[in-house]
Amino acid sequence: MSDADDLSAQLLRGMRIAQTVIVLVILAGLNTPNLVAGLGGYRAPWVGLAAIGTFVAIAVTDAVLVARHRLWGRARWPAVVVVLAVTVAVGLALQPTELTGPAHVTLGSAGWLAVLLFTGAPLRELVAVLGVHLLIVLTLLVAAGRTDGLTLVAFGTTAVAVTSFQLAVGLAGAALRSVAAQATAAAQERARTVTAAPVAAAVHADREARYAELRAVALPLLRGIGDGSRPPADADVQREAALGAARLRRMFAEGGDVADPLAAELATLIDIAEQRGVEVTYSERGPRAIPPPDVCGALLDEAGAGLLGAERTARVTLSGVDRAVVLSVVSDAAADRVTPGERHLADGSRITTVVGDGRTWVEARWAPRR
Amino acid sequence: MGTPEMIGAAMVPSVVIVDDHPAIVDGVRAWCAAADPPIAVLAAGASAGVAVAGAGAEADVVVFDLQLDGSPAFRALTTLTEAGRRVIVYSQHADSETALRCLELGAATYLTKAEGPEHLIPAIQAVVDDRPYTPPVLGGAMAADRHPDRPVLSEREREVLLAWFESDSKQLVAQRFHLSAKTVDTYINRVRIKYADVGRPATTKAALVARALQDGLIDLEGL
Repeated sequence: MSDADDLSAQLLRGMRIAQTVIVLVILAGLNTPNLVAGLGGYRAPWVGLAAIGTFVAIAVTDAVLVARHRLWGRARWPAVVVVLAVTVAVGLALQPTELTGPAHVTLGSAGWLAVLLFTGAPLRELVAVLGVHLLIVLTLLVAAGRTDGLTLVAFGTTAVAVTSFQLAVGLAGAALRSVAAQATAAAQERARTVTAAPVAAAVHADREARYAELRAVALPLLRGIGDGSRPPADADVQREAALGAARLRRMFAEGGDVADPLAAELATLIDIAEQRGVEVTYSERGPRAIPPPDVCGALLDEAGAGLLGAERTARVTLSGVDRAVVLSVVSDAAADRVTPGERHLADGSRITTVVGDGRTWVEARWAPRR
Repeated sequence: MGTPEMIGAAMVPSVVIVDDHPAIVDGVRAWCAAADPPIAVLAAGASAGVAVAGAGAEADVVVFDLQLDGSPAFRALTTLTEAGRRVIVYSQHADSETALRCLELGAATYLTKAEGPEHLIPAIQAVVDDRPYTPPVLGGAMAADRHPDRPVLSEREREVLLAWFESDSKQLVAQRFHLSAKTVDTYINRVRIKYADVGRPATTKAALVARALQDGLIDLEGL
């Protein structure tokens, strides 16, 4: 059951309680005394008693369903067939003279039972059932030869008076359901808006942070190139530009549908280094976890600095060992640019730098927190 | 087919090259000729047969291209190791499982073709003496290996192997962990012996373990 159904069931509940009470009062307070008084009008009196018994049973079942917050659902169809069968049986059991009299107890109450059974169903179904009921009674009248004007007028008056009440209640139920559906849609829309706002704010903050980073890295460089203080021919300037470009690419690639963004970005960095004439050896080992994007960025920044600082050769490895992701670059980058030792980043990554053997080795290691 | 280069008789280490790519064969020949001491190439050919019959059958070491007909030639490798041949698998294939499977089948070591220029000659020299040789990529495969049927490595062994894979420099590894280069070697070689000691037995594996015992790399309790 959807939320909308749930909400309309809640709204309909008050109405259903009222309906059930009305029907039980009609059956007990009006129909039963009429039946007792008019039993003499029945060719088979037990049919009248059984009819009232059946109607009371259906009304009580409805009361139980209301108490349990449930609708009739598909069970309404066999129930309505029983109601109509009872009206036929009562019509046949009555003396033809009693068909428009108070002893015909099902004439008024069958429609009310239909209202109970078709609560929550499309209005046209209730209208159809009420129409079928009136047709049955009319057929019984005709079959009994009671086609005189007075009888038909009496029947018409009763039919209009009772059925219009029943239709009005059915209409009210349908209107209530439509209001409930609108209220539900409005509530869902509000929930969506409430969720979308913080998501948008978080995305915006994230972008702001990245752009701030770029402003810090790229803008001074561009400004320097512009005013001539950072000549593009300078190797340091080229390296910084390559790093800034790598970050830009990462930012634009965000949300890109790459299974392993770390390996994909690394491949791009290697491409850039190779275009600069560096001979890169790349190797991967072991199954790797996929680090969150900011960790990927931090690992790539560290490795990128080593790789893009390489003069002629670089060895790049990406390993998965014991749930850790280890990105390592050994290059002939000038050793004066780095500080040997170990550093820990805020995201838990560990950067180890070793200088020796004419080479610079930067290892960036990240493991998911246990 | 190559001609045996008889330099001072039996003391010269010799190899047979099984590779279907002429450029690779020529490259390996050139490295062997430039090695000190030089290594004799007794034969070369595109199928494992060249190592079984003729001059190649006498070679100390088989340099074996795993990728002969498109798929890894594990059967040919098994035939060679079961015949007691020392085989260096020299492969385009770089995945860990292939490398470790070759060791299980009794290969002496496993080199990727990218590692050839630096590591093939030292590997041949070590294998001729039944000494372990673990090039970086194979070290990486062992460091990342968590298969239940494979040896259990200590934390330090794993760290050193991973660092060897990353840096391809025992000096850098030594510097990083404040060890001597010899100790780094010992860690790496011990792991190789552990791998020789699991899986299907082979005479080549036994020779490796026996030599490690003689060299004091491991003791009987370590087995």
